[in-house]
Amino acid sequence: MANGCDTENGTHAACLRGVTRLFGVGTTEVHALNNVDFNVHTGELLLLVGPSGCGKTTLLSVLAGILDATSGDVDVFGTRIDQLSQQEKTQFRRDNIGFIFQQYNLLPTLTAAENVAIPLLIHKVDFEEAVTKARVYLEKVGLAERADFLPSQLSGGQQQRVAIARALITEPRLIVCDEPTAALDGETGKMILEMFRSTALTSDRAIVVVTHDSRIFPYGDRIAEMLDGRILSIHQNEFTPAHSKEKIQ
Amino acid sequence: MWRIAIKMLMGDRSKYFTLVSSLIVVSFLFLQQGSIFCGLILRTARPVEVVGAPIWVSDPQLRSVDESKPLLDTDLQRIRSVQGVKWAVPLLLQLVSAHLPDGNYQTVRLYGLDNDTFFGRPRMISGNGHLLTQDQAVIIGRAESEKLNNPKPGQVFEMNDNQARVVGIADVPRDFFSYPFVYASYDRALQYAPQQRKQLNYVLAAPADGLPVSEVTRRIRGATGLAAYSEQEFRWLTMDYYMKNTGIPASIGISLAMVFLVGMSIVGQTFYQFALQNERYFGALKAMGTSSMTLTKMILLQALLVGLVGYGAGAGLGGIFGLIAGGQDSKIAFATPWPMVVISFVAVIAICLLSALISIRKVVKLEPAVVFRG
Repeated sequence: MANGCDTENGTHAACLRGVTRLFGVGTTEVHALNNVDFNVHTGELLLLVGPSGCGKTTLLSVLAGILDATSGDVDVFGTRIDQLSQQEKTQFRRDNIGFIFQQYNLLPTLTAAENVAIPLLIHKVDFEEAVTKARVYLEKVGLAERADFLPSQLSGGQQQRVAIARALITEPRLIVCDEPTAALDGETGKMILEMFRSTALTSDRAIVVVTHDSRIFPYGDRIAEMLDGRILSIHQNEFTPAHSKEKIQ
Repeated sequence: MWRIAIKMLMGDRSKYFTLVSSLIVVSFLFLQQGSIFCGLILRTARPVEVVGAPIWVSDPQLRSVDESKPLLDTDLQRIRSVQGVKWAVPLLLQLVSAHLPDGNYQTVRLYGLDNDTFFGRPRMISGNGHLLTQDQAVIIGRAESEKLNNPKPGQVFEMNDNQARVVGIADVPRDFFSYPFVYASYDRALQYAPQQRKQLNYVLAAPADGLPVSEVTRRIRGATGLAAYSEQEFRWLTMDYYMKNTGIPASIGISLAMVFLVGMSIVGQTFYQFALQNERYFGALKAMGTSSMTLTKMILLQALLVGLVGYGAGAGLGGIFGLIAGGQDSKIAFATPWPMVVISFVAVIAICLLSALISIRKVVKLEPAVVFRG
């Protein structure tokens, strides 16, 4: 892709060019995204911030391939996902994207280990093998002893850690998170972001986090501010730990 | 993902039990209503079954065993002379009025059996079938005998102003009209039946050894111009008559349609609620890379599973109902032939699959972006 975007050689995880997303028609038409140009670097944790309704979640959805852009180019790790069929997009998400949701979206009737195993089961890994691997990832997020608990038996922070383990288990190259700390207290929120940085962030991966929560701003390498469907500014985060800044190209 | 589908279904216990219990009721009602229909229709052929003759010969215009279309006495000899007929005996089968000792009248189904062989005589419970040779002797079928005041051997009643003396009680099941069965020798039955110019209405026959029944019935038809049926054909002729000329199929059919529609609406609604309730989880699965086809298969598996569990339990209950309330001596006509089991199973699975289609449509149309809505 032009305009200095290099997703194929690993410099950039994702590049969006002239991306517009409309909702509604006629008098009810809304520009959720309005001609957005946007890059995500590999090895960075990017925070998307802005007021409610500014298009953060829409941008995240388009980036993750779960919502089609009305127009514009969406390149993720060298694949123009805006040109893929729905089936190809589903396959692309399965192989490349990890999701962490505000409401966790853990299946309430499955244990923590079974929830974490879901992405592997989608990859048609044998159930027992998937659950065994899920236990390893639960251990990584400090929940080994809660592997057989149902989500209703876990605290909000624990549920989000389960969701992180679920997002990481297939080692996706891009992890998208929507308000991951919104339902958590401040300390737990910080602990979750520290966990992101320590367990999920490597030089060939990227994490994009939509957030309102200013308490977690220090954990982002860059912060993109949005307003009315546009990227207002993208700047290096002066509070970011030094070791993370080095990764940014 | 099959295990995930099953856990999603069974983990939501209230929905699961609503689905299964609805299907239990639907399956039970389907089998129960269907079995009552089958039981009623099978009972119309009971007067044929109890005789056990391989071949029935009658007037060609006859439409059911309950019609009385007389034959010529000489027809018996004509049939005996058909090549391939091993033996042939007369049978008088008529509805006659019995005058009971208490002054009441009761219609009975009178069988006049061949004087020499008593072919068609039922299995005796008490008394002696050979006593039919005695003057005025009759055998009473056990079912419906209460309508004759449960006569014991030695007791008497009248038919057509002729005295009949009970010499035995036979094991005879109930028929469609719930008439008591009375057996007498052919000559004696002629006296009990109202006088007509021609009395004989059936000839019973058997094929010669090695000859198929179908071949012999064909020969009888060709040689005599009469109707000749195998026992099975005659049963179906009678059952077919009652299916075409009574409101039973329509009445039971309406009941079954209602059961299907009510079952469909309950199961459909519950499935739809299940899909709505799990919308964001299905959305999350879609976002994580589960294809619509896989989700469709998961929902179909859930539908089939509740269908199998519900049908199994419902059919079991239906079977228990049949054992308790049904049976040949029961007043409730109840029979569950295997096609009925298959039909009711197909109906229940159809309800599940049609209901699942509503959920499938919802899930297939679901945008995975729903997962990011608060």
